[in-house]
Amino acid sequence: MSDAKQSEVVIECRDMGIWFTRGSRRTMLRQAMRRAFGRTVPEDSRFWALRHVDVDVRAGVRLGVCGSNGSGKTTLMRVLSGIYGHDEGIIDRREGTMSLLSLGAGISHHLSGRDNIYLLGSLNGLPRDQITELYAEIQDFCELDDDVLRTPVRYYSNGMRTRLGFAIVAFITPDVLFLDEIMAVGDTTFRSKSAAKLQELARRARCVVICSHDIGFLKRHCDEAVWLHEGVVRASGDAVPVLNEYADFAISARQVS
Amino acid sequence: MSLPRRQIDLFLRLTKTGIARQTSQRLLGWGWWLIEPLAMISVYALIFGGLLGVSRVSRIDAYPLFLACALIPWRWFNLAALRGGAALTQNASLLTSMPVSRDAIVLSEQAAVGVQGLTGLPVLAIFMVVYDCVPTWNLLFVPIPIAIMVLLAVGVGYLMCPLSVIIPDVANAWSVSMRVVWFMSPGLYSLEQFPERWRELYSLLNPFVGIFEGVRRPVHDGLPPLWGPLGASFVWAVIAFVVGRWVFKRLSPVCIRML
Repeated sequence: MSDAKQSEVVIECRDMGIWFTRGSRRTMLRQAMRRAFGRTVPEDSRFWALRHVDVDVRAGVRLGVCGSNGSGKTTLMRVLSGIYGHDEGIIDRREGTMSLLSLGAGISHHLSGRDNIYLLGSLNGLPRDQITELYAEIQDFCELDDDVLRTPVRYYSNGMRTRLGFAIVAFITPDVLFLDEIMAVGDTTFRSKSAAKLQELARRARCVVICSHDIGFLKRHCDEAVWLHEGVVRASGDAVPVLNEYADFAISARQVS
Repeated sequence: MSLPRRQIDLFLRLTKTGIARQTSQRLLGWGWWLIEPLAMISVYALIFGGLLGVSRVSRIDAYPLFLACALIPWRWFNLAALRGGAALTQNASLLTSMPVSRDAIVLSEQAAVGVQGLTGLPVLAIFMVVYDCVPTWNLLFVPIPIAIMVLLAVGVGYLMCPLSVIIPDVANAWSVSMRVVWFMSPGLYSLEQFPERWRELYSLLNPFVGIFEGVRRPVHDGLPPLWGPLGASFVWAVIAFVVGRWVFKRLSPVCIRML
């Protein structure tokens, strides 16, 4: 058994399932009310986004999540990080701070870049003093001068916003880090800088869950992987064999289509 | 950092964001928070006090101040309930991308409105000076109806929050019903104008009677609040808070999936 498999389980997910309602607005309203007040929702109104999912997130392990569009990757990240509740099975979270990072999440266009640094820091559990300590480093990393950081973010270009968003999340150290399609971003220079920062970030966090379509990236950075297909786990285990299996499937699916 | 401190820090940041959302795109920024109530009071005073003669018929002195005593808490309540109610939809991208406290989101919207609402109080002071109202010790009672109104607004905001995600028509229904409630409350006219035999029941059933009179009597008349109606308002506010919080707790996890 590898070291990874012996390490402590930080999030344990057993036979987990989550469903959404679908149909007309009226149907959704009726089902939402039934669900909220503990009444049974008919099975034909349920759309199971994930079902019978068994995943262990272990300390010191970087777990990759792959799968085609609509397979349930983002839903899995949201359930594991506690944004969504689950409808069946068990999820046992044994760590304190969890951060799900997706670029641009939480950025307020009404606030200045500076205020956004403090806002996103707070959203990710950093105290004000610590954000102040990191401020110069963050500013240096995103390459935005004082005048720009005093300007409301709605006047920023897309590139500036991306750099700011990445710079803020790159300096956070949660116990469990969920990266939802955050890869290296920006122009060529910033891309290599952000790739290096991402690796450092993944090293600092106790465990990392990375969701991506980029198989190469997952192979380079993950120890274990889960392949989701139509809401169920198709394969899981050591990263390379699982990702190879998914890559073969993706190629054959493309050929068939 | 301990959890409560983290939550407080987050709450303050989100409040600041809520305030910025209201002020950052306007040239006069905070100035509008003073201009808006002043304009509304002037228009109401002109139409109801001047043209329709409500103040003359009811023998109300300093009618603009009389109006301000109701209009300022009313505006605060209305904004708090509306903005608190829209908290989930306004912050949909944040709530679906970060494990952030839903309570912090709703309460910070209320706090942002609270800052805006507080700026209405100097308007009251301005009218007191303009109409030569001598302040009495009874002014110290004013925070009580304001606190009751805030509790009522938080409760209604909690209730509206998940409902407006599930039923988009809630916001429209709310604005229609609020107009009805405003005209049914003693904002433009005095409580004395209401038929005496119904007055007590009216005071018990309408939480705004206690709140408006609770501000108006100390500010406009130099008298203590009417404790009976104010007590009824408090009971309504507690009921609204308990029911709103309960509904929010039950429905908000479902709503997050619908954002």
